[in-house]
Amino acid sequence: MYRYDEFDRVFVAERVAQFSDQVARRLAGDLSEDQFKPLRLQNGVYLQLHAYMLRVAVPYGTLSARQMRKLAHIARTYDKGYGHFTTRQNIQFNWPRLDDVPAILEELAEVEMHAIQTSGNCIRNVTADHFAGVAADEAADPRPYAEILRQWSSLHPEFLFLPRKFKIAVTGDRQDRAAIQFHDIGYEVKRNDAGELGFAVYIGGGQGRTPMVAKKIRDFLPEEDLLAFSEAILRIYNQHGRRDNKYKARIKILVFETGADVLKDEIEAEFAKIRASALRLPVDEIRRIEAYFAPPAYAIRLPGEAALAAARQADPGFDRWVASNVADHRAAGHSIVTISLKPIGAPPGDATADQMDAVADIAERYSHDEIRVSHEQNLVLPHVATADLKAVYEALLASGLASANAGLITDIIACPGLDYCALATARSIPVAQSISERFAATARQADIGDIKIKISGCINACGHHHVGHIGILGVEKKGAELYQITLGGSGDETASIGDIVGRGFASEDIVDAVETIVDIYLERRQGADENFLAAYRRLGAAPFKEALYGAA
Amino acid sequence: MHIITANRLADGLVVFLTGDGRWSQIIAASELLEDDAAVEAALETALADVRANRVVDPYAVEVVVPAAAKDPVPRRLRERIRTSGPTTGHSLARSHKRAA
Repeated sequence: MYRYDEFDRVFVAERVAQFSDQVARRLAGDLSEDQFKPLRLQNGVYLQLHAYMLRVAVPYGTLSARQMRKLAHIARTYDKGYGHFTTRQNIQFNWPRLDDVPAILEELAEVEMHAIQTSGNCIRNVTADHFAGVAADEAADPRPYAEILRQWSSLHPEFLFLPRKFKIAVTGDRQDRAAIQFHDIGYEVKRNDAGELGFAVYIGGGQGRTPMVAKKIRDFLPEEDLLAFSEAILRIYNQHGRRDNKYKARIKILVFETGADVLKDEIEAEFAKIRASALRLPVDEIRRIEAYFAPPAYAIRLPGEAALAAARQADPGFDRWVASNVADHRAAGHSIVTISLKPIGAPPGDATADQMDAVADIAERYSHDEIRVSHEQNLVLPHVATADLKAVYEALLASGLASANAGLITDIIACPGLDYCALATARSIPVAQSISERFAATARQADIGDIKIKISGCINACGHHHVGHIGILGVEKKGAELYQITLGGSGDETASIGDIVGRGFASEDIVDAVETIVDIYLERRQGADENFLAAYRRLGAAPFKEALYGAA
Repeated sequence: MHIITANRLADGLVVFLTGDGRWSQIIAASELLEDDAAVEAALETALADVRANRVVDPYAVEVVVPAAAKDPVPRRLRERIRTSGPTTGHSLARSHKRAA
């Protein structure tokens, strides 16, 4: 894992001291709320519906056991004993006191964490594939590049007051688990025909009230040009992005209004000017950063296939968990484990302090001290010996963390919605809970197979409903919650935005509507190999519309 | 009918303006404002407390007082949730270790 160098340590410590002083001045009345608000936002402190909320950055979703224990400690000491993992691979605490925030930030700095640039119109935490470095078929681990981007974008003076927030995602795998085509910049690490490393570059993707699939503006950018090209994109956006209307201020609107080709030419021209500057990455520097992310020294383990098969046969619960929550690892004898934070009927993405401690213990013992946060609001143990799977399962089971549903219908993404969020127009969590309970039966979940339900409580789409195979958007209509359904969205490499299927459903009807859609899928699919998304793309919306609303 | 709400500066928690110009976490303690003039006057009091760094973001909330009970109930769902807390999830059964 990356460790802070002296520069990182100093700038985080300086920021903690600066913000602590600002909080003290605010509480003493030396700063007004108008003066203070932009300062607290730059440090991840929001004022939500019920209380302040602190968003802590988890760079590219990677955590050590020590960091996870610190998060547990913060949840226990300064909050209500739990935290909420988000669709941006971060963690949010929903109840911190403002006067405690300086102490929290000091504790975070002890484990090389902070909340800088988790809000505001700046470059946000860079996200990455949660299977980075261990996925069976990736070109290269994307996290060294994410780390280089983190260093470049942290407190970058030119880009602290952009027209709007700016999100960068990186993947190293053709199979896109990081939704790079729905980010302001998406980088796909790849090799060219000569075997050299570089990136396909996408810009202008995003969700929110105007969902857009990103445009590819470079098929291959040499790795040494990562920062110069990023700087060129940001500079053009910073100059031309709209500041007159916050709803039209994201780069996706600039790309749409200018045209990707015209914008690409401007970016390339700027890039040509600055390419041969200090921004050109020295190869030995890339390799130096890469060394932090080198795979651990995997012990040579017996494959354990026979023992695994026997254990699966003896324990149907373990068998189901392996089937859904264990993925192929690039190292022989090892597996990737997804820890579902979606127990049946529970709020998606929440973990109690005790559960965080348990995950830290398990990661230390069985996963080379490493944990990932996925944008699907789950945790990942990236380095588990296949022979240890049963022990890991038992340990997770003891902490209520062994839900066997990763990628299945009850593995739902939901934003905090109107239960917490000041912007929300409807609740999301209770809808997720009701759907989860309706589809709790394990055999039925297995039969339905891969399907992604994503729920947002307002048009800002933090719950990624636009890319849900079934997306649900909660709005307020005539004083009541109303839920609109979209079908056929996908955040993977086949990126698509869901189609609105028709008029919305009241909260008491939305679960039935989802069940109707699932039943039509089961009825019309060409066998269990055709998952929901494939079936929808083949069938179109008509059969689903007819089942929901009757024949036209 | 309206009441005035805000968030307390130091801990961010939801509070309501009372008849004697203080802030309470209990909606039942809030002053019921019958007309626009009363709302305007109460908002003036609230803004003075913003300047005095006691609360932030004050605004008026429309409420009804059901005949059966005396406690005012906000008309909008958003305000009802803001008054009584999240309707689900881990915060329900948990108290804050550092509650004032």
